[in-house]
Amino acid sequence: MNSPLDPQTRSIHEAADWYARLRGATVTPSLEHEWQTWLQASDANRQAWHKVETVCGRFDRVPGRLSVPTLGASGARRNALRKLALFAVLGAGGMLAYRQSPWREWSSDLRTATGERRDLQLADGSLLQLNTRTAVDVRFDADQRLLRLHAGEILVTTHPDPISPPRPFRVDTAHGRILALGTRFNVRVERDQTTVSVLEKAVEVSPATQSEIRQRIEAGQSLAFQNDRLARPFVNAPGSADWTNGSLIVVDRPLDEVLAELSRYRSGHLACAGEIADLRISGAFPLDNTDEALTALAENFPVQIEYRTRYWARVVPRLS
Amino acid sequence: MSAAPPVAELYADHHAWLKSWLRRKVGCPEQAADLMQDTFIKVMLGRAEAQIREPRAYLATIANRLTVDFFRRQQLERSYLEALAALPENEWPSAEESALFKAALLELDRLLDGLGPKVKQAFLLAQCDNLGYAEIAARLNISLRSVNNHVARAMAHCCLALP
Repeated sequence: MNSPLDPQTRSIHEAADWYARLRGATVTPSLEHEWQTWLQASDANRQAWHKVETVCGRFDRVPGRLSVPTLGASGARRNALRKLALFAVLGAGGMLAYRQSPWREWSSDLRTATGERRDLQLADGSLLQLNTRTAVDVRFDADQRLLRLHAGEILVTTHPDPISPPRPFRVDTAHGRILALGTRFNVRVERDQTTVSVLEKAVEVSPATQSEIRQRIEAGQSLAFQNDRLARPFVNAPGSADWTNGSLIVVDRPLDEVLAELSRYRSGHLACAGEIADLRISGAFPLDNTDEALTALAENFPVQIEYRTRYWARVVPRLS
Repeated sequence: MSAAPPVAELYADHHAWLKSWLRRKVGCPEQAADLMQDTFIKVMLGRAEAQIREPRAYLATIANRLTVDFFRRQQLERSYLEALAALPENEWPSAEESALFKAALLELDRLLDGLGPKVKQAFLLAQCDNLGYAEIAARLNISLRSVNNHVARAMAHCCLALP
């Protein structure tokens, strides 16, 4: 933890040290007080602690009896009957608590963090893929198969309902309802609108406050809608579901839009100088490592990346 | 950025090279062929050829990423099935849960990538198996202080590896 490290990295090492101390000892009030003092000392510390929480959250997703052997701690004997009491996320309030892992319930309320993607199969055999920063509830009952998409982006590949008569498959967002017609489609929610892109077969879209309107969208088409209106369908952008493979595919799009896309997968600030906002970009960029994507951008276009910290990046014209 | 070689030309000029490059990496000709196809599919989807100045380096970058991912998934799948086999049948997760777990494990594997085996093991036992440091120290035959240091180092590594 010496000076060559930038403040963010130093805070991360301190946070990790705190995690190890708190994890290893009985937490006394004085230890907790000391930890609180560290936590409140700077924004960098709080951000670093947030990362520790995020890592804990990721590990909490898989029961220890599967993750420990799978991830390579072979030879560790486990008691299969031991409760899945896992170290809990420590809130900003500083509560230290253990809790039961809610892993059986994950199929109902699904969330992804920044840069995270998840694939899962639903109870009817349909495939649900979640992109970065996504929140979706799965509500299957006797009458319908319903996904409530609160934020982010999903790709749905429906499967014929094993239950007879088949239940309709719907996706609801704040802006309206999408009825799947045996299909594969991508849904993305933004603040003002929802965009659905159909990859196979078709869907039917109704805005939230105008449920009598129904617009059929066929494979190869996209449609943006708000809660009271539908825009005109347009042809799918190339590679619009390629995020499922970890790639951002762009063809002739302005730099600022490309950076806005990359920002969805990245914590912190990412912007460009105004004079190059319109620079046309084409290419395939990795989403799992946005630093690499920025490097690729700098290698292939007349730009360079300025980093103040890993969380503050700005794209500027390359100095010749 | 000079005139663009279309994908067909890229394929004609480099597919034999790429295939033998992949075959050297994965050993099996069928898998090499599959990975080569995947690579060109990515290139076609990207239509990024206008920006390709070093076609072989570009193809190798894409192919390498696909290969690493391929190996990682394969190995993880195997370890996962072994872990499942060690569980009593009534504790097996459903297919849905398994899909969820495997996706999560792949992410975790990426976070842990690069850590030494002892460090990783100490961290997993603390984080996932919720063992006390004394027990971890006894199992791994290391000091309490080493357990604490391993756990801290692994956590810092994971935090820095977060996307």
